[in-house]
Amino acid sequence: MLRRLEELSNLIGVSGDEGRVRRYIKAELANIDGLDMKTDAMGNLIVHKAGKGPKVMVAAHMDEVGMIVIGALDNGLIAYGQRGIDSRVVVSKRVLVGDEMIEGVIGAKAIHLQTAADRKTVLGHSELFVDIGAKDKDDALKYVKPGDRIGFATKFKRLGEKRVLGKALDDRVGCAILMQLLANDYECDFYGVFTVQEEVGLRGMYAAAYSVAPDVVIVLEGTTANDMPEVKNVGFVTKMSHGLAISFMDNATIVSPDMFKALTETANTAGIKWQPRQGTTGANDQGPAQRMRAGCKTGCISVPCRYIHSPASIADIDDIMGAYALADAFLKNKKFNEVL
Amino acid sequence: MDTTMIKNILGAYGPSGREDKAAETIKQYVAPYADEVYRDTMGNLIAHKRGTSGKKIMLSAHMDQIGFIVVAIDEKGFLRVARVGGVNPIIATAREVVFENGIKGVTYFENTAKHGVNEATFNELYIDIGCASREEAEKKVAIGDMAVYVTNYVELGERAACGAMDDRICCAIVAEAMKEMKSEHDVYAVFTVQEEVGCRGGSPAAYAIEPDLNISLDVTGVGDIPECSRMAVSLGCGPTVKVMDSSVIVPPVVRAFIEAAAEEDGIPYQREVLRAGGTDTGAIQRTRGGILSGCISVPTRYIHTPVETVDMKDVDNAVKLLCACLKRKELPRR
Amino acid sequence: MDVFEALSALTTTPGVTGNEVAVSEVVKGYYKAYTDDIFIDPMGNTYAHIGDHGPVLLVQAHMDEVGMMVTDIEEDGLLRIRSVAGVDPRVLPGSEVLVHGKRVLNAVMGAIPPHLQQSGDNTKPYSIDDMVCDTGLDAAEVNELVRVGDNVTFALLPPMKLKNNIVAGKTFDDRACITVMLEAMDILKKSKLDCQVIFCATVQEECGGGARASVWNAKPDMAIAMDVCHAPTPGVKPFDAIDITKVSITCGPNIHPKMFKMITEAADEQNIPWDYDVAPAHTGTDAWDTQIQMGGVATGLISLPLRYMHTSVEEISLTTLKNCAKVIARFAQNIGADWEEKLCLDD
Repeated sequence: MLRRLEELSNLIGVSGDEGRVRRYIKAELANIDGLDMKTDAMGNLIVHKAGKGPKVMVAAHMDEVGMIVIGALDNGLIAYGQRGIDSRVVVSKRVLVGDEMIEGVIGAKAIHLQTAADRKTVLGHSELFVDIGAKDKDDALKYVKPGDRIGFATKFKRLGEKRVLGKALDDRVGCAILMQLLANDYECDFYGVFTVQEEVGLRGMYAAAYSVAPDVVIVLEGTTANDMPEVKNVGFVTKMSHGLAISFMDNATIVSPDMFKALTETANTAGIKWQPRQGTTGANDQGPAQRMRAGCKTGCISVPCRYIHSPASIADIDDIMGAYALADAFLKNKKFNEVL
Repeated sequence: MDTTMIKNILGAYGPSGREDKAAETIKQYVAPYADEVYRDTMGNLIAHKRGTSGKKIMLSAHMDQIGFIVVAIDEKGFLRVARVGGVNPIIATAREVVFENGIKGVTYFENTAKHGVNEATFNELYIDIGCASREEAEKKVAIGDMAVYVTNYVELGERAACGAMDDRICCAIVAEAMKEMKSEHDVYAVFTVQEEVGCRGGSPAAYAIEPDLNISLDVTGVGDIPECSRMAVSLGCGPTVKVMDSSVIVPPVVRAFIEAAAEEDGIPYQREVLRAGGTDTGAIQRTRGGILSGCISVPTRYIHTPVETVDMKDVDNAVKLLCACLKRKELPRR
Repeated sequence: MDVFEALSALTTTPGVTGNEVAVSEVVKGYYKAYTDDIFIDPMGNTYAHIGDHGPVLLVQAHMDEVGMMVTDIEEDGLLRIRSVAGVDPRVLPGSEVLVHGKRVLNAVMGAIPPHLQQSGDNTKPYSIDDMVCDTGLDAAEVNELVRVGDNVTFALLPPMKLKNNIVAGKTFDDRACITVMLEAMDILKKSKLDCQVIFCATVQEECGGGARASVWNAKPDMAIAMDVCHAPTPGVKPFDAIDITKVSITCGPNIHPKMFKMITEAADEQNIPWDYDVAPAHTGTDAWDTQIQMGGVATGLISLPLRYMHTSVEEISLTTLKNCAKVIARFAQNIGADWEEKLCLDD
């Protein structure tokens, strides 16, 4: 699983351009028997492992936050648009542009040239540009074109024995876990769905949930860990290394009490360390799934990740393994029957 | 209308996502007048009365109320909360609240050394359930549990004030209409869930029912209190026929249908243009290939506080107006 | 088809968001020249279906317009109004408007004149709440003719022809794109198509409404939404606007990459000038809701650049309008038996 997480994390798949991630997952799953794989009109990869019992969907999103080329300036710098990235984290980062993975950097005025007022002002995205070394506008447009996606060039690393560093851990951890689950057999009609465009408004799930029409949905996510020294205990969303997180409510979904109970009981019985996802902010693919057609039951298992939506996030291997173990135990013990 | 029924429906516990108790209470009042009563996957309570015309009318009133959800319990046993629906932190301060298991608490805010209550934010709000430690508190309440304002029904002559008027008063109106109505259509009275957190329950119910017409019932604002935002709605002048709110523009054919029913039976009504706030009406309208959808509202003062105030004449007239709509043979069509 | 004549008829018919009945009738009248297969759904979306076999292409343009509504009638008969969707209050003071009551009334949007305001107040824009809508009638007459909820529109003035095939008028957003649809139907009337095209004049775009239902009713295999986008005006930043002479073709997560490619090919084949519109997320058009309906729809977006959006003097180029129609028509003509392969995302 960690090998796959590393490879997934290093792939670039900005919302709406998830092809590289999808191709990787399809290739990796190709040698598992009994999987029917289909890509829908939005790019969701819907993997069906037919079986008897209720329709259970486990979902993880393939896309990551990133940028998109809008055009080039006369001096060859590339203007970009984005969604979901704090402009303070992109300054002085290495990026890769388009299908050819053209290397570039996002620079800023040198500190020596800044005025006192400059230093106190946040640079907005419209004042920041990607520099690929192009001479001028025409030269830049030889290498990149409007619409090309821009991803961070961060390479996955192990940090000691316990932790990993990489970009897009939200939600490549979910993808890696789901790929592992698809190798197992469960007594249900199982759908593993790798969704698109979660980061631009939970969009892929609308189409996927409609197509699959599941009875139960479990979403696997990478979520905010904000266990910084300044945050008081009561302000945590999750804490890294304190186990996977189980959601009860966020901005898109109120988890039904029976689902919350089924997940927490499963964790307790199996001795898997867990924490409630304490904040009610944020939103994930459960929302569209819960209210699709006449509605279904949804739950969410998250891996706490520090610094999500930035070029480099950190997660705990035990939390990741715990999330896998909980999803596996929930499916193996047919706990989904308890919410139907 | 039977005041005991109104009080029972208003007093039932049921914040968004935790509507079981409210559903049980409402169910006992509608079951005698329905052919079947069931709850769907979302938790919507649906009372179905069969008809003969082959047409289906859906009535929808939401049974959830605003509240608080516990997100953390600190060492001293104070409960930290997030809002469920449109709770104002200043109005939410120094209130009595109650959990589903009957545990009561009171609310206050931290940082009293820095500022007064008029600057309190939701992050500073907490519930005190009288415990001295986290361990003691955890025996009574768990993270993820929800609390609501304790309801206190106050009779003010022909008017009444109480928490949860939004939208239990309309649940009571629909229950009463189920009893009183004569209709040749299939009538589905849907008591929806999770309206206060973004109109989430109505659309899945409408998806399954596929009605020819939906009439939502909800509360609406007024313009007859001192120095408030302008609105051409007053208490006691009749229920309102919604023209638009932030979730919907009611199709003129549906508005005309409701107004014709009112005018035929001589029921007073007002037209309502609500500036801020949405209802299930819009979410239901946008279900499947589009559903004709309108809304009758009860003018209500002080919405989303524990003293939501309505006029019982408007409530009675809303029942009459709903029955007048249900008895019409011809439903609106494009 | 006389494009200017169609544009005039469409833009001089009222159709404020949520009440598009009158303009729907005009659209239906034009549809009838090309097909008998016309229908209206419960939202009010108005469809015309051409072709008899092959995959379904849904083409959408919205027919609702920004407008206002009466919210209150003062004791002296002055009306208070609100925006139904998208009205910029700064364009209202002194504007001639029409109140669509029992009969249509002429009126003026008024506000307290600057010399009666406190000093400095005239540097702030008026809020719509500070303004009145004055029909000049006395209170009794107003109460007889006008009710809360009645629509108020800008005066229904016909478009003007300016230099260089530029035209100016009201409600080009998005009736100009309805005109594009009609022009595309006109081009296609002699074509033998291997697809079916459902043209849909959608409702409630200005507040996010009709597009979803249009997918549920048309059940398309692919969709092209059409809307207007901004053409450069003073103060608009580069990349935020598209030249008024070019067809704008959108790419980004809202757009199926193969649809984008096929649309640009349809333009290039006819040497039609076009430009990229890059949308990092929300396109603010019918395409946004369309893409995620049912099991997902391969969606494209073509826009007609327009100056002074949401005013009563919007400007477009008739040449660009016709070019948009040519792109849509060629796109439909290019659809063949291999359409599924062409749209496949896994290659």
